[in-house]
Amino acid sequence: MNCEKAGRLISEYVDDTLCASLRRELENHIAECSVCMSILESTKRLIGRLSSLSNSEAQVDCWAGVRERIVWGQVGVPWWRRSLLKPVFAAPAFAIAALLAFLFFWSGQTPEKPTQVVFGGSEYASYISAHSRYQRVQAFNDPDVPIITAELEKASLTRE
Amino acid sequence: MKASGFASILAFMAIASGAVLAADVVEVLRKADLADRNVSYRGIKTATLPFKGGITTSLFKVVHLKPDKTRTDYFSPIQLAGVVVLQDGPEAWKFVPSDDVWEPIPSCCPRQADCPQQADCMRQVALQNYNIRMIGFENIAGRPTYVLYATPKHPGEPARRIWIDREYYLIMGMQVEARSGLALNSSRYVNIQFNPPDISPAIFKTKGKVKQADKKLSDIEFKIIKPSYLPPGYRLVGISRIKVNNVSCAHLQYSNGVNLISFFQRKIEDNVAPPKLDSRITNMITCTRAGLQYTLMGDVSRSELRKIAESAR
Repeated sequence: MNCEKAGRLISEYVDDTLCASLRRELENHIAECSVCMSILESTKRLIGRLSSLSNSEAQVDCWAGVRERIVWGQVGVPWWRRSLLKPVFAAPAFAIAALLAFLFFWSGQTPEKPTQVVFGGSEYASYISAHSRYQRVQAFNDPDVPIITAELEKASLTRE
Repeated sequence: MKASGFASILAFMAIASGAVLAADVVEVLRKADLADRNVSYRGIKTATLPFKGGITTSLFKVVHLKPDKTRTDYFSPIQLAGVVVLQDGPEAWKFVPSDDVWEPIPSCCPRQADCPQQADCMRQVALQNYNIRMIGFENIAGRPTYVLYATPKHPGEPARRIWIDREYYLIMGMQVEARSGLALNSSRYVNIQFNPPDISPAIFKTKGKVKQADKKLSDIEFKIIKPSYLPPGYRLVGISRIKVNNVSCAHLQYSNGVNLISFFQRKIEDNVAPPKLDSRITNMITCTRAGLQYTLMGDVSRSELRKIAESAR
């Protein structure tokens, strides 16, 4: 038994699928070889961790992308041409082109409007923050509750 | 004669003991205001409060190093996950993960954020508007506590139930209750450790980007209008300036010692209508009058807020 042969057998040894004679031979070799001993230990650790993983489906379905690459690879279409044909690239490109054209023709016709400051969610969020600061120092009040309330309200205003 | 004398003695003892208990309650409250100066602690707190028609529960960790350093890390709900509030003496900062920057929290006290004088002042005002009595003893987070109950002298205000640690006088729990006894919001420690030996002062320092505090605000360029109507027990306790989108606003604070009404005023152009606001998000009203936008929010009903706004002329 040499290290090359032992390395091929370690996985089966961990799975307990070796015949008795090979198992004894491997064990004798590992007892004298620190390199093969460390390989055996790391293999056991890896299999142990893999065994502890839950049997749940992957959150991302990769098969569709893999299948597409296989199909396109078989047809022989260059990758750059494949990308341009995809709706995810073609649609935004067309939209951007249309927007640029619209802006080009529109900017020369519309008179400038004076800028108008528009307050809204940010203004109310500022008021909520200021109010919560003073709520914290009121008597018979938990100072943490106004902060929690303020953050929830501000988060809702941001989403509105 | 003997029976009437005995009854008189009992009545006198009941009145005397009530007076003693009342004095004890005030003393317990005074010690509770000073608790942070006398004890360090680390604990997990939970708060339950109504929001947008439902009930939201928040979980957060509080670490306090006496006399005046406090760090609060919020874990839930998701809108608060990762938010950290630091208090170091008179200075305070808040970290919001989405902004990735520490933002200074302006002090609301002209002296400092947690000055005992302000707490004493607020307590005195609160005792004018609330009757408070000790109603028993309970355990919170494994700690024996006094249970105090504050009932409002004026109708329409909620009552408060307060749990105060009997050894260190730290407020262990607080509950706001409607007249029916229904809890409107509550918070309490679920576990706590007093005077832990391993609190490092380094955790109360900001790390990373820190936003600079706003420079001195420009003066308010309009005449502040004060309302002629206020709900019973409320009085003006402060006027300050805040900056909203680079516009200076006046912030008038009205308090009855326990509940706060904020009245914000700012100048507007051409009587522009104020932006709409979903009434489920917060108890706030907004309106415009004579070139000013009024925004009011607080712990009173919307009808009361509208009455206050209407009286500001």
